[in-house]
Amino acid sequence: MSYDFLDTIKENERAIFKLVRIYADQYDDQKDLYQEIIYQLWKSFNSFQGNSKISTWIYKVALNTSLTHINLKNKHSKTISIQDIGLQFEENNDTQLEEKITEMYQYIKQLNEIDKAIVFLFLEGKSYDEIADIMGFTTTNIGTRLNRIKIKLKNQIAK
Amino acid sequence: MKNVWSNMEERTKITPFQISESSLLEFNKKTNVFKIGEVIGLVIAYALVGFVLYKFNNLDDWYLRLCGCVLVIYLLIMPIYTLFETWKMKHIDIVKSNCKNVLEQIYTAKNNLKKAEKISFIASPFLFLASIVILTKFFTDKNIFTLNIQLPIVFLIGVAFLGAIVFNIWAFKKRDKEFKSVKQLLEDKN
Repeated sequence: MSYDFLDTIKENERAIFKLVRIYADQYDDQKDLYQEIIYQLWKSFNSFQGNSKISTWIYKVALNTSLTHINLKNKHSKTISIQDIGLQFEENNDTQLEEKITEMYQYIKQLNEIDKAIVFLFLEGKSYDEIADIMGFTTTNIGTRLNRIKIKLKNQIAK
Repeated sequence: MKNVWSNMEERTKITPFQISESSLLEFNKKTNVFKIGEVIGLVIAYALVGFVLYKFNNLDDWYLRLCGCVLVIYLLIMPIYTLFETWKMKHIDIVKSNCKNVLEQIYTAKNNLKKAEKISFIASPFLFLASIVILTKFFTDKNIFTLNIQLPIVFLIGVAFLGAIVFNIWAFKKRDKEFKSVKQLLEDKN
């Protein structure tokens, strides 16, 4: 196990946690997905060639793993787990913030698989170009989609 | 929303995780073991093919041979095709592909699996019937078509046969609804 891998995961683990919470509802599903992402990152870590930012690469692998996981979950769900990888959000003392977080996730979860990914990357502060690279769409298409998502979310919040 | 997102980053603590290579290797080993489970179905199907081919000379009428051939061809092709498509779906290159490619690959594999499923749904009552005919011949040396079966029993078999077809069509349509969401998602992308 190289030090770089652990270091890189540590730097990005919060983002992975946030992503997992978008694509999986229950704690057990979140744990499974989180472990799957860590496993996929570990398996392919040596293949990272530095053509893009390491964070972009992590987002891409994490999102692709999430999309594969949710689409194959019913057919090929795994019940095994990695013993040493824990997944635990500590209780947030700020109940008001916690309520807002829950509400935000509820809105995001109503979007389709692609829109969820775009919103996640947008909230993570990625540029349109980076989002386009990770998603495989053109930058213009990402802009259009984001506008559409914003309208959708505004309408949901207004209800 | 952006504020909540960044506040969440600052204020939510997460338990630091420990990770070791041995646990990841163990996970890798376990996921590989699962693939063996999927092969069991294929082994059973091919064992049945071997059995039918071994006893094929016992099928002394053209329609019995036809039943045998249909069963053998189905059992040779379908399990390996399904396994191959499943394998493809599980081995999507998530490192080199972007999200759009991943979804397209999942959709293509699912589409192919759906076609295989459709064939299975339609073929299963016929294959069930063919199996009964062949196995009756193998184990009792009797041709089921020449047996003097009473009319009510023939009627019941017919009803069960049609019922199986209707049930399979219903089950397939239900399954088809789940599948459409992926299709719509990809169509929405442009």
